[in-house]
Amino acid sequence: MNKLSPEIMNSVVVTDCGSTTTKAVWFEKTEAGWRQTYRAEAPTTVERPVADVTIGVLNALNSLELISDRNPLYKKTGENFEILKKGNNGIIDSYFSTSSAGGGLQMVVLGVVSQITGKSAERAALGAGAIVLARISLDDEEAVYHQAEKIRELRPDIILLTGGSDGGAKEQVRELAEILLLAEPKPRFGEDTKVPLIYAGNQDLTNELKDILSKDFDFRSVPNIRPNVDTENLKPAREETHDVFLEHVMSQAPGYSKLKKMVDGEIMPTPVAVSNMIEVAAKRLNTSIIAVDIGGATTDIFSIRKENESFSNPHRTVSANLGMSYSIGNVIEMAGSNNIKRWLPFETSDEELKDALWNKMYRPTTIPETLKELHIEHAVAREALRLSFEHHKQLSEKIEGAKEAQDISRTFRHQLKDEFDISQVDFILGSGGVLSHAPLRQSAALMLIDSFQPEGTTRLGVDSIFMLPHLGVFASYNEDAALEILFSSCIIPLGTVISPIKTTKKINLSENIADIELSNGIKFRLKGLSIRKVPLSVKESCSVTIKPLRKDLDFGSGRGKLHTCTVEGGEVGIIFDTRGGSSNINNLNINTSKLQREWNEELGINII
Amino acid sequence: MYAPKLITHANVQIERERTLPIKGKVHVEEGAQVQAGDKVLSTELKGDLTIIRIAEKLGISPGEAEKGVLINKGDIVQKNHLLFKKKGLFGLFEETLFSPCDGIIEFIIPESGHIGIRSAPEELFVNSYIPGRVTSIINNRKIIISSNVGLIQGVFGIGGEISGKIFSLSVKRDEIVDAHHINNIPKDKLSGSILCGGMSFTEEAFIAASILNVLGIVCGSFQSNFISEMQNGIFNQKLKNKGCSKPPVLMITEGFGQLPISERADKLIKSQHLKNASMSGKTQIRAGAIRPEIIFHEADKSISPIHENKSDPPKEGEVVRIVRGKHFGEIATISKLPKDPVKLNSGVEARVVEVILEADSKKIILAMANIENV
Repeated sequence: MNKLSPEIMNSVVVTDCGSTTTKAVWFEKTEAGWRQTYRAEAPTTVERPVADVTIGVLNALNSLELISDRNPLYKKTGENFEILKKGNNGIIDSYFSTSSAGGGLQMVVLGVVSQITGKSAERAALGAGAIVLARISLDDEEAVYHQAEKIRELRPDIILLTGGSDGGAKEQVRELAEILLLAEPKPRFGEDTKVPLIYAGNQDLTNELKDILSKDFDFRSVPNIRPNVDTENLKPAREETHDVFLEHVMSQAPGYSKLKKMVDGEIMPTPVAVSNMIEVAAKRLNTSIIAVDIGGATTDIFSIRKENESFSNPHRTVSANLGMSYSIGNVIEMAGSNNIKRWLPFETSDEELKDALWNKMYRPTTIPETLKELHIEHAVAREALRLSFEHHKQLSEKIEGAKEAQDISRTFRHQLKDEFDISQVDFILGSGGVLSHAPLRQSAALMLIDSFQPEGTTRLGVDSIFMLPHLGVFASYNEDAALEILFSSCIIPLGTVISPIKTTKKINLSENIADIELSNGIKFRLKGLSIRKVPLSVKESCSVTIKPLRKDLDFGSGRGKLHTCTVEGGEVGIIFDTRGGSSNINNLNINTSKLQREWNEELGINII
Repeated sequence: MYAPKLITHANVQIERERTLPIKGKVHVEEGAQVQAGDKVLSTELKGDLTIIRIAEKLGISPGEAEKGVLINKGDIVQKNHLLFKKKGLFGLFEETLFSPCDGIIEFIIPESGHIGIRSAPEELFVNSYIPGRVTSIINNRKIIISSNVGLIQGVFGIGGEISGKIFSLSVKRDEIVDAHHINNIPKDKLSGSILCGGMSFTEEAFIAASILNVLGIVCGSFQSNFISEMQNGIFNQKLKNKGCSKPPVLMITEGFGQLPISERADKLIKSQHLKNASMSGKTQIRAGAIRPEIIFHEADKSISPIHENKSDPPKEGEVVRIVRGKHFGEIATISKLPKDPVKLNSGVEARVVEVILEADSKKIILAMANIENV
């Protein structure tokens, strides 16, 4: 029988090597069925001085042995270690792993003219969720050798080279290629591999550049991002960047080849593993799902929609510039301190906020000691999630009735057909340290609501201890066991949130919004700009009748119409949200920290 | 469990790579002893290429452009050398183009009417940065220097490499250095020095130090807004307005905000007053984390050396720095390593460590993730 056959797997350990922490989880077949029994973690060790991902794995397994009081899981021989299986002095049947230890995507972009192809290249890279370390152009003030030195020192994961319209400039593009050859960049990780280079410039030069650059770079070409001066075509470069990141960059963490020898099967990239599990879960629950995995360096969003009786292809995006540790600086830059402060139930100065977050950025493995620190991190998480969701929607957009390549002059005028109608999403599932390890489940619920701004009736859940990636890789060997663990140990149902759909008119404080009646006898009037919680336990459900008190308000049956639905409970219960979304909150001329205190208190979240 | 670290130690074995951007010449031999400012590598960099697009610039055809070119390939030209002259319409106006730079005519392309001028090559050299012994020479491009030194690694820095004498300020660890602290010191003592000490510097103190040609500044902390101003050029403009062209290299040892420099760092700095040191402000948190550092050329040989790259999991008796929460920046000694997770004040459950604070010998419990080895 194949050693990976489900029939002989009763005890499995899985690790996920994240950008900041390595998590080890134990799945076992117990009398009650398949369960997650133990969990441990240790800092990921891809960075110097350790620079070997297997050391973090070893530390996590060591912690797992201590916590479970069971050993041995591994044997160390010199610098290497071996996982011990049953029949070889060990106690488990299999060991699997996922990895995203390379963390965020960092790119250098080159264009002939800074404000034309340089800017387009930067937009393409940002659109793929990258951090742009430098934009190099021929009209820079820097000397060529400085530019080359900069590229070498920055050690980008991917280089994007652009320039020249099709049939246009060639000499200048060749000059940029010369700078790259001079730079001789080495990848961030994986010293012996070539840095991927995506060429998206004058197509007449593709073959020539491929000949010149393939020796030193992993050369790939895509259609020109500026085929002519008036047209910008970012999508092919953006998609190629995204794909190269997932397939190539993430697998290059130091020690990766050692880890490959230790696992059964292949190491799965973390986003692929989570995506697998989400797809399996959506089909089992027969529902549309958005899932998010917010990590230290990246925030990954997965969505799968139920369309009549079938399901769409799962869609996943990795926002490699948004996260809670290494990428926290980008969240501050992109969101701005006002957008972070609006979520805080206390006053703080911009300076104090920035100091706190910069300290976290430069010491990324630290965790909040005080409630104040916790609230600040949760506020940042909301912005990271919100921005990642915008990125997710953008990458899944279709341009209505127009050609793929975007006419530059129409850039700011065209209408996008938004594929994403949040009111059609039935379930939002949160994963990642800040959500799974939130001390209170209601904190996780509020973060998901504030970030995604669900409309209509939406169930919420969290991954209890952040094991979606582990389940995802395990599901590829034993789907039934993975599903059993998913529903018994992984998904913590938080409850259901109910909010008006697509409010266009302002919602005012204390305005009468709707009359609510539950089948358990509870009745009340919903006021504007409020959160109201009704306890309803896990595995309980009840019927809710909503009578809008404004003609424009729609809760699922049309504007101004009575709406009745059956909702499921959870650790938090039913949450009625009439705050009108973050744009409504932003437009208030009142002290939002006072309101935030009230909303937090309604949900039982400690303030300070 | 591996814990991150920032070294503060008087005797550390280190290695530093010195690298050229392209192959060149190595000026030392393997095994040689070098001093901090010694030239160890050099190369010649091809000059920049300037392209004069005659046809586009003057709105004429390449053929017409070619007729007016007055120089040949290989000619040496200086800035403002006449490159092109042609009589205009009806012979009334003359059209001329002058060289924007010194250099050699590298090409003249008749088909496009372009002239390429290559500037003079530039000599680039790399110094050793630290005193020590050359232990490897690689490909005429890179050498490795090993040494025993005193070392303080910082959390964050700005600027490149410098060398100078340490000037330890007579201020308390939690004191903010103001302009009067700087102005009370004889100017000749400060010029070319690395100024160290205190919790932070006021903007006025920073400017005063810059004007006096202080090469580096090391203190406990700076507020993030000031750092932003430095990074986005606003502060450099303020310095320019005071007649100063370049700010000192900066390193903070503790973090952002108002955090006193640690006692350990303060003591080490004071012991190195007026002695030679090298400093780098370079900071990179990913891709091979690079931390800013100050390297004291003389190690304290009376204490056992440690190796820069050795990393051990935390153990009882180890000295650590607290890097989060109420006691941020304080030094402590690990007294216990409980196995089971504990709930912190924030509500987060985590593995913890019990430590004894150096300042008042008080015992506290905090997350293991919130300490770093020193």
